[in-house]
Formats: sequence, C-alpha cells, structure tokens
Amino acid sequence: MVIRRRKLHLALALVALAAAIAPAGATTLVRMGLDDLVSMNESVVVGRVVDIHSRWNEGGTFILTDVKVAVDDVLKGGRGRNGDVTFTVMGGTVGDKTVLIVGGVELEYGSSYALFLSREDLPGAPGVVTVRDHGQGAFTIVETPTAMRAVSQASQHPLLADWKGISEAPGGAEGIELNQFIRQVRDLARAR
Amino acid sequence: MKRMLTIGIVVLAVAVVASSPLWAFRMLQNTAVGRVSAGYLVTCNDPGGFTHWANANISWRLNTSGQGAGKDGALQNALASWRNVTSANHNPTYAGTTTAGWATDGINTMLFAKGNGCSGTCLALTALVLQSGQVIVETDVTYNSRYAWNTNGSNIDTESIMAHELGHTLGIHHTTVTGATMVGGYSGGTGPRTLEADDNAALQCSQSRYPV
Repeated sequence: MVIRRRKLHLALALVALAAAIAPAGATTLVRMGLDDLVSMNESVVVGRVVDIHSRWNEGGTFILTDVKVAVDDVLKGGRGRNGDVTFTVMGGTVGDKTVLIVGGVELEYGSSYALFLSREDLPGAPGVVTVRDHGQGAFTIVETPTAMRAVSQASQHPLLADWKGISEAPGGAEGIELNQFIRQVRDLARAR
Repeated sequence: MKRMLTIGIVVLAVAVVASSPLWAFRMLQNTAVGRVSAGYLVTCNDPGGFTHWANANISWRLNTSGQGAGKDGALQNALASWRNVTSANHNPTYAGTTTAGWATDGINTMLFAKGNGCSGTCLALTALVLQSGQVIVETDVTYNSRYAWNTNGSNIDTESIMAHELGHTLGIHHTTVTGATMVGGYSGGTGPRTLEADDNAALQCSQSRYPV
C-alpha cells in the first residue's frame, strides 16, 4: 500500500511539475548557462515572494512591478543578507490594464524562486535592480517527492543556441535538484 | 485498489492525449491576476481563452532611430505575411515612422535601442498591453541595437525576427513545427520570413474564437 501511495504521489507530483513549468516565454533570447548567469549578474538569491505590487512608472508610460522576496539563501553578492531583497520587473496589472512581457519572468505571491539580479534601466526607472535576463534569470522552486528542484522559467522556451551550440536552459524541463543548484552557483561565484 | 489506480492513470493519459490538438501552435494566455505573467502556452480551445485583438485593423509604426533606418521594407513584408493569412480578417498595416518609444502610448511601435529591458543576450522583446484581461490594445517590440540587424538575408535577418515577433503581437505563442515562423529559436537564415500552415492555423484560430 505504501508503494502504491508512493506511485500515486509520484504521478501527481509529475503532473504538478508539468503544470509548474508550463509558463513559457517567447521573445528572442540567446541561451545562458549557469556560468553565464552567475558571472553576468551582480547577485543571486533564493527566497519566497512576500510582497508584489504593480504600479505605473513616474512618467505614467509603463507598468512596473515591485517585488519583495524574503531571502533564504544568498548565493552571490551582498543583496539579501539583511533578510530580504526588493527589485522591479517590467509588466504587471494596474486596474484593468496589463502589460505582459512575452518571455519575461513569472512571479507569484507566496512562491519561491532562485533569482539572478542586476541593475538595469527600465522604462522610467533608471538603474533599478531587476531580473535582467527575463525567464532565464528566474528558477521556480518546485517540490517533488524526492527533493526540491530549481526549474528555469526558460526551460520550455526555445532559446537561441549559445556559443557552445546548446539551446536548452540549465537543467532542462526537470530542473536541477535545489541543493545541487545552490552548490553549483556558489562554486561558480567563488571561482570568479 | 491497484486496478483503480491503473484505470485512473490510463484515463488521465487518454484525457491528456485527447486534449492535444491537431496543430502544434499554441496561443498566449494572460494569467496576470495577482502575479507577473509572461504568458502561458495554451491550445486554441483552452477554457481560459487567450490574448487577442478585438479589431481587425492594426497599424504599426517604425522608430527609425538606432538601427531603425531602412527597416521599413522588412517591417512591411513581415506585416504582409500575416495580413495575407486566409480565413483571418486581421489587417496589420504599416503607418509610417514615429518617434514613439517603448511606452504604453497607444502606438504600436517597432524600435531598435540599447536598453528597454532588452540587453545582454536578449535580441528582441515583445510587450502586450491588455485591457480587461486578454484584449490586446497595443503592442511594442524592442530590438537590441547591440546586435547587427540586416536586411540582405544575412544574420540576423530583420524580417525573419519581425515576422516571429509580430506573431506574438497577434496573441500567438510558439509552435514545435520545424520551419514554422513561430517555432522558437532562430537558427539563422530567412526561413521564418515565410509563414507555414501551422502559423496560418494559429491566426485562423484567433479569428475563429474572437472574430474581428
């Protein structure tokens, strides 16, 4: 009976995993490996979204969303060492108007992510901290029966091949076991 | 118990297979309520619907700053490709140049720039402005000026990428059909300039579900 339950749990987990990675991007992005993501971003954190708020930018020309994350792990850089980090992404909903960035990041209150953050100029918001690499810079933390996994939001997004000829997002659709992901990112950050 | 479990899994598998459409194209669904959405991949008959235009006439303007100069031909050709889809009334047309930028200003704009949230390994970025959930009221596409955008058929072929991004602005997500304009991952060349049957079917799906 225990084995059957495990099978059932495994089947349900696979369905849940498939649903969790369903969001996919569009747009046109060149594939970045974990090494590229680590080297080209200022900080990397793992944490849970505890506040998310969309607003018009100062000029009223673009909807931006401010996101606050309670940080569980700082993998690179100084951001988040005081327990949380706040950043801004393009898109969101204000009233009945939505700006949707095709291939952007998918962020939801209460969900956990690994995030690659850097400063970037966004419309009406120069030099803000953001997920510069869009879906490639956000890994959704997914719980499976055996382990937590970090699944790239670009995993189902057909990326342009990088200089090595690889087009699959790091970890592919199954993602990378979270502890392994954390080790890899820390090692890559230390190697820099 | 074991038999019930087996039957359940078989029923689930049959349901998944049965729900798969004949075509490979997918549409863009907005799930932005309470979250930041990048657009879900959904089939034409998804109960939640998908992003779409409510009007047939969609005029586009080209910002000629950056590498925008001389790209009007590529844009007009890409627009014609989608305009010529049979059994779909969508009429995307070229309305001339503009100084408008990456902004929610009521102008559908193609522009070439460094910035606009599209830097580094981002070649092009598409934004949809949606009203009341999933009605597209404006779209803009920004192309990363750090790359060389060509119109002579060499990489990166402007018309190819424009045709692809225009598909997104019409509410179409990616397909898995090799050679189709809306397949993800540009591998060079001018192939994406020409729409394939799967691309046509995607726009016809939009027309069928949300007539314009």
